[in-house]
Amino acid sequence: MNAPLYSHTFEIKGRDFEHGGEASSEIKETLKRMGINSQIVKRAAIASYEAEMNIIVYADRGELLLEVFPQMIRVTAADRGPGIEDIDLAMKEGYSTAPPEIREMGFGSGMGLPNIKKNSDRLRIESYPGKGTTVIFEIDIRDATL
Amino acid sequence: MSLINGKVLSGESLLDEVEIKRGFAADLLSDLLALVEVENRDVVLITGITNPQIVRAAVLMDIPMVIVARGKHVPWETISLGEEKGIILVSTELIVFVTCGLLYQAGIQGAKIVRGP
Repeated sequence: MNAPLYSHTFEIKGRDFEHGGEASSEIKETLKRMGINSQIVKRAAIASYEAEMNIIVYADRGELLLEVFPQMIRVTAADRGPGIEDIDLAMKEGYSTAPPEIREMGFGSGMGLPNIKKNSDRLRIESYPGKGTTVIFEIDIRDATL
Repeated sequence: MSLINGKVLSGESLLDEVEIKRGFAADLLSDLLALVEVENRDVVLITGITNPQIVRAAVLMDIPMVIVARGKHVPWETISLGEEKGIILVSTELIVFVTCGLLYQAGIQGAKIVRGP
């Protein structure tokens, strides 16, 4: 793969619910400015938001790397968190390990990873329990005016 | 607004620009992100959540208006983010059920839902 046309790294702080979602808002604005089809921008924004909130809910810190290629958007969400014990289980809709206080805030419905999968064309999850998780998803750019 | 005895907390100047035709109620933001279609310029979100993430999720989904039900106190951070992002935040003493019922009675339909796989 050639070098991306655009790349940017967003630092994410764990438990920072006030600023949570800022990175994905910026990703949405950036992609919109590039003139990418709004449907694709929306998918990328939703998947990025879920990945960002996963870092905020579960990890101490992490980052989102946005890369835009001529044919696709790639987001790499890497955190230093507890990791995922059973990825297959985590992919199940409705499965969540979020504590009650997180659910009271409107998160932890067990739709995060399934939502990322639904909104992307390719998803890869690498996780090392006790060390961290990396979620990489790609969205193909079709009918793009880029 | 008078229908649900609502109080506008942010985005009051935008009220004339939006025409709400459909609604969606959720207390889990991922449900909103998972289920609701993407064309949402005429959708109102009815929720019991008060943290700034309701504004973030609304911005993400292009939803112009959020009603916080049950008379819950909406923190300043949420209101100022709503003002900044141009989201109309409304607070009502009514519970979610009654809020939805009144809106439905007034002709507001359900939001379009993405069908499962």
